[in-house]
Amino acid sequence: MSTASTAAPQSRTSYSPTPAAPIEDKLKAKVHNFNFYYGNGFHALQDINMPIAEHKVTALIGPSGCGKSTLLRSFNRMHDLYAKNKYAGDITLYPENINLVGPELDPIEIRMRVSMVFQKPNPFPKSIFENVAFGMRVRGENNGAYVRERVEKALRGAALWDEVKDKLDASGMALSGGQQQRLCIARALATDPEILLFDEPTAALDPISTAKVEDLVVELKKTVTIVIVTHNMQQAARVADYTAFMYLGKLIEFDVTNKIFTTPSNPMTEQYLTGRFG
Amino acid sequence: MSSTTSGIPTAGDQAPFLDLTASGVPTPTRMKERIIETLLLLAGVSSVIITIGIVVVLLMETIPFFGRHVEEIALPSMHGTAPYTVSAVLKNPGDAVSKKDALLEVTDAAGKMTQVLTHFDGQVRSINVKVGDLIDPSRFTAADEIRELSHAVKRTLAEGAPIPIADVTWRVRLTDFFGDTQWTPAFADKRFGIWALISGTVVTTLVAIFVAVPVGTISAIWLSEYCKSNVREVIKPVLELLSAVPTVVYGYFALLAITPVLQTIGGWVGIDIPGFNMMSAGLVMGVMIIPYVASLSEDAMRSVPMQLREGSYAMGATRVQTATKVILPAAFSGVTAAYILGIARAVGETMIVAIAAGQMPTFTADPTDAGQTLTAFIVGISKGDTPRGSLEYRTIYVCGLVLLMMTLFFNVAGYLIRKRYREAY
Amino acid sequence: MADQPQQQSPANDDKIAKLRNMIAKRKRFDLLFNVTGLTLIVLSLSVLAALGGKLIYDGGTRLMETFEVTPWGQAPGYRDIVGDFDRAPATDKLAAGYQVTPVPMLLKTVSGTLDPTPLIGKRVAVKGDLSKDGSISVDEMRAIPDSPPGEEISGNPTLVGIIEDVRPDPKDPNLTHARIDPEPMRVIFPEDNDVKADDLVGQRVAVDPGRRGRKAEVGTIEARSVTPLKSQNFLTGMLSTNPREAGMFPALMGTLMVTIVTALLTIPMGVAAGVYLEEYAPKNWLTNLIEINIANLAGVPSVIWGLLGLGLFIALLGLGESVMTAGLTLGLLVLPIVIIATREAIRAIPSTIREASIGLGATKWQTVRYHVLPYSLGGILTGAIIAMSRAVGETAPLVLVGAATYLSATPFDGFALSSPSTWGSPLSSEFTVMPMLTYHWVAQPEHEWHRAAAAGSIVLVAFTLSMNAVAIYFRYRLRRNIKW
Repeated sequence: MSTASTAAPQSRTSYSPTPAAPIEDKLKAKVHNFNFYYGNGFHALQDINMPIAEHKVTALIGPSGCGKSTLLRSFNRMHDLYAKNKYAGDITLYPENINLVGPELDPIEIRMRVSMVFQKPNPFPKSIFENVAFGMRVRGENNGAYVRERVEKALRGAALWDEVKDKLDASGMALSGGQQQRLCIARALATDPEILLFDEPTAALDPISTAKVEDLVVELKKTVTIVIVTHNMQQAARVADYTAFMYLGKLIEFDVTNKIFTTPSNPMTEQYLTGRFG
Repeated sequence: MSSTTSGIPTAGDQAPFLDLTASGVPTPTRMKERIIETLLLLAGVSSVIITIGIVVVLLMETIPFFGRHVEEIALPSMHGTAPYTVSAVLKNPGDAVSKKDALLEVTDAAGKMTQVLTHFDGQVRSINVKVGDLIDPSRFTAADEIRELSHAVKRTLAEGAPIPIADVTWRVRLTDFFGDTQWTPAFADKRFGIWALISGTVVTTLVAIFVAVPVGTISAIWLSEYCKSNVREVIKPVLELLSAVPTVVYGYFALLAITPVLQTIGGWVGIDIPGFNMMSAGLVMGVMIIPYVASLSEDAMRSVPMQLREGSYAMGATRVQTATKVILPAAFSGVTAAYILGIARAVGETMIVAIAAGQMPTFTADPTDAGQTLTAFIVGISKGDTPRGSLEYRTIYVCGLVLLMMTLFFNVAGYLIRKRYREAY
Repeated sequence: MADQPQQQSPANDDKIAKLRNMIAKRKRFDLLFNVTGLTLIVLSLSVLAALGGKLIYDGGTRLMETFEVTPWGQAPGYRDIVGDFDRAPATDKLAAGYQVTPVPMLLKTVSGTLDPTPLIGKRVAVKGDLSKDGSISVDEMRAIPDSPPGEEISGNPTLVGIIEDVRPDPKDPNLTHARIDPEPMRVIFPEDNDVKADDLVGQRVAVDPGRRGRKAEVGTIEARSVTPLKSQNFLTGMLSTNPREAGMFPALMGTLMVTIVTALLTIPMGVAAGVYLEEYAPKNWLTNLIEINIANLAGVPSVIWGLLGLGLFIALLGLGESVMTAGLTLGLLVLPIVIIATREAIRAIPSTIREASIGLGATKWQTVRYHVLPYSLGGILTGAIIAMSRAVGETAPLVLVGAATYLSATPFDGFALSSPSTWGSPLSSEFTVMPMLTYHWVAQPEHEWHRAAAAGSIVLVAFTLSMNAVAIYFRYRLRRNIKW
């Protein structure tokens, strides 16, 4: 350990991960010996082990290219969209104890249960209402009253209702960037996902919109388990209950956020947090 | 000028138009650059000149078409000399039910009397003929009524050998052109209702679109959303070969392969399909424009950003849901442009319809009928010998102008829509 | 320890089961759509296959068939007997002379009245009319005993030979076909003939049998004229009013000439316009107008270009219904294709290359000449090939500018380099092209013309598709090799 602290962090052999300790909270999912290979053969994630606590916010941090987005996108099998990507190991979802990356599970089912909000707001070229209702539409839900009720609930949940309630028929693309992102959150919320994934949701937003989205994330964890990838350490400190620090495809340290940011047990984490690299 | 090409400037050899550069005296390179630029500009502007040329050529013949025509009229010789006097009106169109037929009794200068049945088709709304009216061929001027009358005289009396006795001038009115549904420029009773040809164009185009839009769209979705990129790299060019086949070959295929099949199928369901029909021409034309629709639509679909696709898949949508609920709306303008350009292609297609749809202008909406399109008429007339300046010669330019207007409308619309969507992403 | 899996609730189970059910349904629909899409594409392509199949079925044999024509390009007269000319030795009754061995022929007999079956393998004398398709409609046929040439025989038979085999007509049940292998026939020339018979030995000839009395010598033919024949096929043959003998050699030459004129006009002009628009044009209303205009010109129906050619080149400029007119008309027609392809090829060159060249002190033209044009050559070439393939297959404009449906010569006939007065003649001569003939032939009612049209279509499709294939290959290689 002491040798690793003095070595240059860029050297691949010079760091060793600290195993994640068991946590107190009830588990929603658990990543176990998880590996991921891109279609070109790149081994992007190596032996990841970490718990995801139910109704908590888990943040994934680390420098660019560390694999945090890759890990996040494994939770709802977005990698299946591109040929030849390969998973190995388990991401177990509780309470049913099913393996999210197992080939026997349909990625469509997983995506219906594990929703995702992207880095760049990507509303569909449809009305605000239809954007939020999209998840129900793809489930074949055509009960108008029910859909309206859910759309309103989701928009309220995403703290967007008051701003758009008079223009639900306007195009979703006509909203401002921050509103678009909250629209995408409402879209993800409308179908009651079990886990909500955020992939750097504020990277493309101004500070005021960022604050609104962060408040929203904290508010949402009452109802849904959240995993958030962020490039911004302060954001992780503000919103997350647990934080995982990743580097070059490995999970270096996982712990309660407070602990990570105050007394990290791995010297690599400390170097990153103090801004010596990344 | 010789110095500019050889690159050696000599005093007094500087053409004044070259002396345009800021520095005043052009260096050899500058002069050369200038000339080259001028030549390139000319080439660039040539397209505009060509367009003007097309419009001018079409108008040069269209304007006289709507102007005065002089026609030799034959009246029967058996009654001696003109003028003929209307000696009795046995049935006056003014108070007859149809208003288009009149039974007259005419007497020639020698006092010989004959009955004449006049028949007025769409050209003349009504006519008043009174006893004592003169029908004087030598004084026939602009009146359509008189022309009709003289035609009628010719038709009903010309049992003997007719002789030309007078020139009749008349003009094609725009109201007839756009108000009539019969197109018979080669007949004695000339009718110029452009709708007969436009209906042929519309019907064949609709049949083609009926094939090309669904097949093209679904193929585009499949190519863009379902198939692997290396498969697409093979299929797309092969599909584009469909539009590389010469249209005359498609015409052959339509007439001698598709029509017999349609006739067999028509026999099963009890529809009598003639050897020339718009259906087979339209179907084959549809196949021909599938690549236009598919290729342009697919381009539009693939230019939809990946984030939108990921957004949809992340909600658990299947590929077909993503394609129809997200990609198609997002690529709407591009796909529409593809349809419109496909329509323009079908409207302007010539050989398939000229070979397979027949040469009978018919105002009909039934695709199992024979019919003639604007393009087929132009080719059909041109295949025979038409003397320059004749009426038939002018009709093809008139049809060309109508055709140009139609395709221009679709092309401009398609261009603008496509340009807009290109800016969107 | 929260690591242990929690107890599942039955309500949750039910919800998941419903979800899976719904997903299975959606996925079935997805699969259905996948299959539909693939099927439609395969169907579209199978139209191409059906088209090829139909053409080959109708015209494949026609393309291969050879037929014999006289030196002036005509089919032998319908009364002529076609055969191989040779010397004949002297026999008991005849002095040495010449003989012709007619080609095996088809005898058409009406079933019932005359049954050729018992005659198989026998030597027969046939009397009948030679018909246009080279067969004989039999009036009389009877077995004759073996007799040496020169013996008299009654009935003046058209042919003597051995019946090889008999089969019913595939179309008309009333007819029976018999195949006869004719014997050599002595050719007897009239006294005042000027036929140089020695020159004809070993050649295929057409013998005009002349008029004969009721009795003649077995195995002789009285020749009014003997014409040497040359063999030609669809591609090398001249046009004809007889569908069996029509070839499309003049049309091949016409297409070649027209395409050359087109290429000479359109490639330099199109490339220049493309270069101007991409490299020189300022962003102003004129450029904008030109751009919209080119997009529109590309969509102008081909028949309108024909009207332009007719009104401009023929009526106004007086170029006549010539190769020149056709080439210029098609040149204008495909100009937008070349311009658009050039622009796309030039646009693919990164601006860094231009900046590097300009930065070294090169002028704009030098940059274009030494960098932009060479690097975009592949793309321009692809566009040019596509444009030419379009020109080769185009029919409608050429109908309007008067491509002929019958010609007795190619544009090259009368073209002699030695005489400057004829230098321009290929350009100003009458012409025809492959698609024009195909169109003309399709429009004829007889099936035999349709066979010729199918053969013409095969040639046409082979031309255009192979040009397109070359272009596609070029494009593919370009995309592979150049990575900016």
